[in-house]
Amino acid sequence: MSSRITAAHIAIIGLGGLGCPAAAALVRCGIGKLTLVDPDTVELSNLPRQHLHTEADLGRTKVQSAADSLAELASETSIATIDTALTRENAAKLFKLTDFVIDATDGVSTKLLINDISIATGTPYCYAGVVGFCGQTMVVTPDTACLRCLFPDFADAEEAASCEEAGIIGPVAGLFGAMQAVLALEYLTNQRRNVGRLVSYDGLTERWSNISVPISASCRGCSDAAGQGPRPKERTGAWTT
Amino acid sequence: MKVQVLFFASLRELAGTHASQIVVEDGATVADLWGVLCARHPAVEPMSTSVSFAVNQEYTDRDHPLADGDEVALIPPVSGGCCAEADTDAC
Ligand SMILES: [Zn+2]
Repeated sequence: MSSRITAAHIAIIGLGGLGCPAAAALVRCGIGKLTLVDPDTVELSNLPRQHLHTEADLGRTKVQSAADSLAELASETSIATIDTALTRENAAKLFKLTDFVIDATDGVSTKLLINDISIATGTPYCYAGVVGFCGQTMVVTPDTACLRCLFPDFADAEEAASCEEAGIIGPVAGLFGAMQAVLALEYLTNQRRNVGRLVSYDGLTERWSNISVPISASCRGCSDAAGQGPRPKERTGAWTT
Repeated sequence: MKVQVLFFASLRELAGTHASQIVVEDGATVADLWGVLCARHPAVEPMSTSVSFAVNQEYTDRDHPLADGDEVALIPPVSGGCCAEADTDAC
């Protein structure tokens, strides 16, 4: 197994429909360390698509429930848990210690927070979103476009989106959680053909799309125009090749 | 000239179709095409500020000029991922 995988530290934000399959896949691949972040507790409605939680876990924190299940899958991975919401402060501290972040959250504001702190700390991360039979994912690194380059008006998008398909089809979340694990492993092993590319899937038409996304000169998230100065390229605490 | 338009996710629902052949004037841009689509499928209009466009699998700006036979994918942002309940609440 690649030492780049066994030495890597990945943070998974959200232990729901995306985070459970992503975490399970990474642990089975022998990832060195996972930090799980989620403030929620396990509810009955979570069980159909959040496979690390069982009926016996109802009322427990999702991170503790997930950590116990993951320890049974593979004991080599060291697992840390944070059972509070992600904030600018704890995100900045955590991301600096990690090699890669997986955004397995719900909702626009947390996704933008992860995007912005990843850029500020120079930490690569994988965005994903699913709704109905559709999903999309993209790896953002210090050298690529970010979520705000891709969707400059993401913050307005939630209201505009149609809700006829409201809710998530469990296997579609499972598919995208697994893809996030694949993309993380690709990144860690220096296979970066997919970074900065938006991969979209629509199950009802069985159609995939994979588009390259250029850095937007006017991006509020990542460009010099945002007043943050150049994006950090060198990081401390990262694994070395 | 004719272009092939592909609708993803919520745009597929709003447009009521997943693909459509659209005739646009020579020299038309992506923004012009969006105007034609909004006239044909008024339900997509609220997505005007949030939709992203890819022409022949490359992300493009709205002032990008189209060519005959181009494939234009319309991709809305998707934010769900953790809890179905939260998505329902957002509606
Ligand atoms: Zn950006």
